[in-house]
Amino acid sequence: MQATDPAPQRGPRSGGPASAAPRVPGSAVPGSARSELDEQTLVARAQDGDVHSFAELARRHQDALFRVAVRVLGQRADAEDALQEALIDAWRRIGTFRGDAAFSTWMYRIVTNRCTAVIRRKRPTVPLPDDDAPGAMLDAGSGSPERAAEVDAELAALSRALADLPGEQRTCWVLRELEGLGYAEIAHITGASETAVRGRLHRARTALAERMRAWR
Amino acid sequence: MAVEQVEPLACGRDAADVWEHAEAGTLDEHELSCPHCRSARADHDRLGGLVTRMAAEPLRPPPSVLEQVLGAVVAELRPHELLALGPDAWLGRPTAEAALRHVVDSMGGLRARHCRIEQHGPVGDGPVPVWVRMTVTARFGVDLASVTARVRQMVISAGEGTLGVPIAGVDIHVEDLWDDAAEVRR
Repeated sequence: MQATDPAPQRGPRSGGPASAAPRVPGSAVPGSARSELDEQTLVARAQDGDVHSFAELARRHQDALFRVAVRVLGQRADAEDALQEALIDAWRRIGTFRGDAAFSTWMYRIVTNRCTAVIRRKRPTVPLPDDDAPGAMLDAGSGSPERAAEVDAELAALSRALADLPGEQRTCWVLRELEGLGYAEIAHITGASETAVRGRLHRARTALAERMRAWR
Repeated sequence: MAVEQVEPLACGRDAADVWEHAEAGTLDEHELSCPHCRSARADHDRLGGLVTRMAAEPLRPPPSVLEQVLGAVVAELRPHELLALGPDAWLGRPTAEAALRHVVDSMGGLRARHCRIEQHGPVGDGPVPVWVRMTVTARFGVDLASVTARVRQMVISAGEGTLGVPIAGVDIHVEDLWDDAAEVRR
């Protein structure tokens, strides 16, 4: 539905002084409850330059994006950098988001591209620090301390095995096994065909299973 | 065979299919009895529990990441995004747009999505009139004709009363409807 007033008289656009820096947009405005807004509305507002709507989007997606980055890169520090760069990139490019895929898919694509760039720059050689070791924060044992320690060690071994996979296999495996995405969505994120995604995922699975045989 | 494809097992079955069937619990008779398929299934079983544990691990970024992102975002805002209120007075356009969106949000039954304020014409002694383009979503069941008329009235009033700029015109586009009951179910 379109409701339009008569067209105004329009002249050349007036320019403002380049030295006048704006405040944070919307900071003086009593905020609507952004946490209750639907994602499409937040995206539309962020596309208009509303920083607070973008911040809400970032808040909603940052945990999932960070999980992917940590698992693909194998290090928290690199993952924090990749997430930060991806979110800034998303802000710069949000005007290009057309909604033909889910916003989360679009964000996954940006963060995995960042991770790929990091992997190309340097191959991760240091495993996750001890306090971040997989399972460290879980009630892994739900039984004896020995069993809990064993599960932690198994998860650390799986993390190391994951870090040894080629980057594209690692990304497909993380998106499928840890994030639960479908082949079509992973193909969209990685820019590969669904057949390629299926092949990479299977090679990753069999390589990891092979590496973990020693633990049984 | 293209490197992207999955090599079949010695029995001819697609190895990825067997893995997926094991995952879904839909292994057929052949897959349950064939030694090659059983080996693929054992690979699946070997990883299953560990993958579940890894997926459940709470990994969260420190708050400093988002803080730094927003700091960078604000620093990038373009200073020319300003509305002229007079010869020496300016207002950040995103701030003005946020204010008008808030007006719509506070009406009940409507949510603002896009709000674009355009200002044309040379800066004179007084504020230069602006044109507002507003995209909204409405709760299912509201009277769209009367509610858009009310939006126009309130935007004009807020523009002139709160922002201090005359509104030359308001375009309102209702692009979506929402249903409270559906949102509660979500």
